Amino acid sequence: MKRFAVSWLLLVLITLALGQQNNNPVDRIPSFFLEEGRQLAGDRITFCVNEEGLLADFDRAVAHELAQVLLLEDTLVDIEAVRRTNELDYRLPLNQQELFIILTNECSAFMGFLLSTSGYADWLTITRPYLRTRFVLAVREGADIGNLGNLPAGARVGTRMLSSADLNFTAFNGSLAPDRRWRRIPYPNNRLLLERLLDGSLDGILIWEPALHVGFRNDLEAAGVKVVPTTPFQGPVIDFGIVLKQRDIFLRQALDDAIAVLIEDGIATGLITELGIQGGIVEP
Amino acid sequence: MLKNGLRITVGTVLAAALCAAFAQLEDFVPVTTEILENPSPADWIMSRATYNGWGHSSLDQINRENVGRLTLAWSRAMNEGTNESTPLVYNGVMYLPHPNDVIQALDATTGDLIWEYRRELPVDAERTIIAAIGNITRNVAIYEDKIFHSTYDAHVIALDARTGQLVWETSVGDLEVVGQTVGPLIVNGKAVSGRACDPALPGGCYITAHDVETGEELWRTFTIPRPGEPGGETWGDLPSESRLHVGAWGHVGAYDPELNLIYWGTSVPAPSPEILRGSGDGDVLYSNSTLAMNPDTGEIVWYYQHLPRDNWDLDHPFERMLIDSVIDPNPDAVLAIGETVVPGQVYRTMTNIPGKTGVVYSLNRETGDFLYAKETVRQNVISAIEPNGRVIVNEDVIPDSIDDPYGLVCPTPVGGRNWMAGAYNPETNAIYTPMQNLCMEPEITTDEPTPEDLYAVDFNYVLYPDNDKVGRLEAVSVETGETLWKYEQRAALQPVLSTGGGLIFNGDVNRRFRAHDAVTGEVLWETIVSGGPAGHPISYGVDGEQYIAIAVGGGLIDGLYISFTPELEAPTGSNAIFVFKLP
Repeated sequence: MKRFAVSWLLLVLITLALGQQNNNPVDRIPSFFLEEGRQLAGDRITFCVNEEGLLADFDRAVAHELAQVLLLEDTLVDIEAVRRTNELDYRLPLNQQELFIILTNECSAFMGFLLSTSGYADWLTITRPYLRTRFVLAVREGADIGNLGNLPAGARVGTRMLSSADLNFTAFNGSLAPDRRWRRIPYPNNRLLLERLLDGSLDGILIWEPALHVGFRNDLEAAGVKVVPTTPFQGPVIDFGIVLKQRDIFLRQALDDAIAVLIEDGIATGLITELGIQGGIVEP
Repeated sequence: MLKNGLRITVGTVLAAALCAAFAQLEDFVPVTTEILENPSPADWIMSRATYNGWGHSSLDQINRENVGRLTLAWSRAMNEGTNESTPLVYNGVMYLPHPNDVIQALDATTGDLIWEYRRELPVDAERTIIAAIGNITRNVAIYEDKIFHSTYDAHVIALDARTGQLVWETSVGDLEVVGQTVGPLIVNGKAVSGRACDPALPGGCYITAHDVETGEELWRTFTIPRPGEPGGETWGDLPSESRLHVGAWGHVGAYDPELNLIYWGTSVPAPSPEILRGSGDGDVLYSNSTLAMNPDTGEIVWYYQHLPRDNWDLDHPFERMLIDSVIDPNPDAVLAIGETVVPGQVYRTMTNIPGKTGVVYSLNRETGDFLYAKETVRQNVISAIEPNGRVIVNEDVIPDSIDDPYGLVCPTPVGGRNWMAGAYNPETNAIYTPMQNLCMEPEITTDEPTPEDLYAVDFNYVLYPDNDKVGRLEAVSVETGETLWKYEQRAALQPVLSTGGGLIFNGDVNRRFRAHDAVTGEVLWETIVSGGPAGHPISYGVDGEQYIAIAVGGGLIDGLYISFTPELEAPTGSNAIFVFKLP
């Protein structure tokens, strides 16, 4: 377990600042840093993993297999992020500055990065996804509910506030006639969603599927809960890839190819099954 | 930093550095309730000097005629971190809170060290953005023989004022989600304190009171009513655990000993867009309110909501000023006048700018009745205030859907006004408030927010259209609501001090610290310090000499402010206190 230090970054920033004063920043930064510096050492590649993440074991396994495909030895660095990782959730608890420091000091690639449609900082690049997960609607076992559309208007549907499902469901529900809408109840975390489904406070929950299963110890039946389709709402899927610095685009391309190999050879699916991950691959 | 929650709460006390200085505390006279209610003019004994929250010193040795001769008496480096500190001075000793939970007792005439308390902090205190800003310490408090402080790691503590040794400490919550930037106010033998709570904390935030002798928590008042409680309906049918945020993080409140009421300000709900909050078009009490509370029980006696339905992160948790004054609002100068106002009558008021909108509110502090409101900086979130005081928000700047743009909204979460406290001068019967001329073009975050996006909004700050001056210091008559003068400049402005010498001290993010004539606004003196004077300036006296003190080094959002004035500079790493006096 490592905590990332800021000293090296500070050195770089100071160098940048000095460079700005001289209006010639590139001359002040070693070309090694700009173009050639790598966390690769000989035949090794270093991956970071959020040790508190729900998918941490899966991420480690994928990282190991990727290194195998690339004929490299893998080093896995468990990152104890400064920011709190929400229980039963998926976001890397890092801001861009923290991520930059980690990718500078600790590793070449960080596993488990949520792919977004809204763009990224210029300095980073992301591989193709190696895991796709979805949001599902969970209801109590005894409920006569075949899909979301069976829930009557006004039924209480729980979401994790500001999750992809929450944002999409807010937009979808708002597009319905007022007397056709469900009552969306956002909660600050997934644990509360599970508890409030069980105690009857909620009629259904739109939840990230891995959180549902892990939260109920992979036994929905014992918990008295079932998953039903989200129709007519299209529950979002979220994909996870690997984030690197833009300068490491050659490595990203290599990892893209390696991910494709894992998918084509069934290795990724095997890991998903072996580790009980509720998710799938993204076909090339 | 220690790892993983290992918390060592015993602070490091540096042994008496200077025997001569230490002797000052051997004769320490305990601070009584009577002293707090009627402090010596030579002391600055609480956050805003006096219970009425004026931020005013009656000392007048330094005045309009001689302020131009002010010179440096001493300065001293301060601990790293965001420096918004308010020194406290009692009987010639300065108790100086630094960022990151360092407190020093200094000889107020030289800055020589008497004792130091340095708390060792766990990394857990940085685990959410709200908890992380708890490194800021705006004030400490003094009572009897103790110094009281709200720590970075979510404790209220008491130190021995003579030695700096820890007397007691009491946890006030989960250090990963609680952020304390403001210290306690001592009232009736209780240390009353507010804080911010991350949206990850179900049920929102709270104000507490602790027994000054033992640290026992005596009451806890939540700033969000629960379902079934009065006001609970303003959150619709959201369960308690989905009602989030609403802290009390800005400044300590004010206290009226005769009415036995404390007046405390509150902040915003989260997330900002009501469409995401799930609260419908409810007022979401007690966000953006003044709470008049019984300090013995924490009971809310009355409240006034300055901004219902917050969709813009426009907090109202700042200092409150208790001012007895004739009230005779000029209809041409104010936004609204209350239906109970009898022009020309003296009222016990609470009058100042309590929140980011920059709107001055004058309330009857006995009843909470609305007296008048007056706009200062440009604002378009309030469309009207009814004669009964009910604030009507502008629905044109509330999104109907996630992809509905807000349009141009003024002011912004960084001001209008922000945590930089204003001041009141009883000779001019005017309040003086530092503000920023900023607007924004917010958009709801359509992708999942990062850990730092508390409010699910990209605010997109802009300067006023057709304006290039960020900073604005405005003097407003308490009696009439008229603007007496206004000072505007490029650099954003910092906290304010008023003095009996007819002076208003104020600095800016560009390292300037200056004195204005309280009557005219004319700049009478200016100096340059090592960093932005983001601390709260104070004045005190020792051995017949008046001093002006200011902690510098930069506030939390100086970097954002300076981005609007790229020709200026807001250096960091320069924390210090500067103390001035006449030659």
